[in-house]
Amino acid sequence: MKLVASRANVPIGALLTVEHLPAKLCVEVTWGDINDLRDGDKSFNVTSSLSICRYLGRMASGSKLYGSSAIERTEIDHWLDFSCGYVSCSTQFNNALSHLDKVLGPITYLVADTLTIADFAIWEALRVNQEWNKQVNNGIAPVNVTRYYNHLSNLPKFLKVTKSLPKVEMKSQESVK
Amino acid sequence: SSSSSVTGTTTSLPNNLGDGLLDVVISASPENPPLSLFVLHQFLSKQYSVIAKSHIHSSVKGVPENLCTIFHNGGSGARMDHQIGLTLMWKNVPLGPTMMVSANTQSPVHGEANIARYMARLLNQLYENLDITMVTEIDNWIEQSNKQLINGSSKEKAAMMRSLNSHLGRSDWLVGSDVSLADICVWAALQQTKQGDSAPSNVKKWLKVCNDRNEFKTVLSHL
Repeated sequence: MKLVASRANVPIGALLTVEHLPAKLCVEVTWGDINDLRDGDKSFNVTSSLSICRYLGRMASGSKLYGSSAIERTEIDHWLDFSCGYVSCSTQFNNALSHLDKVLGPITYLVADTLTIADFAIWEALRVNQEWNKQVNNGIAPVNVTRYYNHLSNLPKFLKVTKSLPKVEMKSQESVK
Repeated sequence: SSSSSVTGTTTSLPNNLGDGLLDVVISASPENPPLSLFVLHQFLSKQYSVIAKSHIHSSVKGVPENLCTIFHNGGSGARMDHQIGLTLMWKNVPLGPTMMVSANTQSPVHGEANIARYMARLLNQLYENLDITMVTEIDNWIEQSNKQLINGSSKEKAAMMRSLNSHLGRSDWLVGSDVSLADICVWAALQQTKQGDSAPSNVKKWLKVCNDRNEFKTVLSHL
């Protein structure tokens, strides 16, 4: 399979999913203009980071990336909606953060005590959020979300993906400082 | 059984109904009844023994009689003799319907579409056990329907209606050759937003095919 990742609209969650796939599922990543997932000549018509996460998570059956029961999978769907809804909506952002902070209090990962595409989606939504970066830099971000975000950021596969991101994206991150 | 190869065609989950009763509690506002849940309740009742009850929270006044009877069956027999227990609590939920299945290990699931996904995952034929490209198309229709039919501007609503109409000109159902979760969610969105009457001809024809199916007909007869 081949993933074309858009430089302008980097599908960070999808890149993290690729990095966590079982070895037998090989996805070659190239950079381009729009996100596109292909298998040979077959295009799957999935272009958003979230639908690519879902697609790859389903392909990786046997892994726990998209949960391993009906309720786990549905909880993950809930967080995917949450990442592109409340977390990405400026008027709801602080409510979303305090909800997330409460949920993360006693746990390390969002669903089923293990890394899933829910974590990839929420981490992506936080990472690209200016308000989040501002709160982190000013030391006022909620404590549990901060712990969660930093824990994920320092995992080897997250570091690898962060390093691989195009320069444009890194520049905008630097300008936040 | 599932295949994990790159060209795998199935994404099936293990059967999740263990021993004993699967206890599902849903909260919803009477102003915005979760119609997709009512239809899925009909599908679930064909495959499983389901006991459904609704309750009115003290914070809500005057839930219409028809909405109370729509989700009420199995008055006889012990609750534990059933496979699935669905409890619908009518209360004001400003962020939309929520669902709890196992309070100890789960945070609440929000949104009618996600609750519908869960119900469909318990069934054999509507969603997750289909071919992976079909499942992806279903997710796509659900996402579009949320974004455009329910929360969109009038321009976005019209655009979605056009794409539905052109798609349904070529096939009887939204995905594949039979009813799927996509049809249920889009049908519910059109009913809830009262866009059915003004729909173009192919959409109307499809609505009629849905409405003639027992699972939809039963729900409609209560509305």
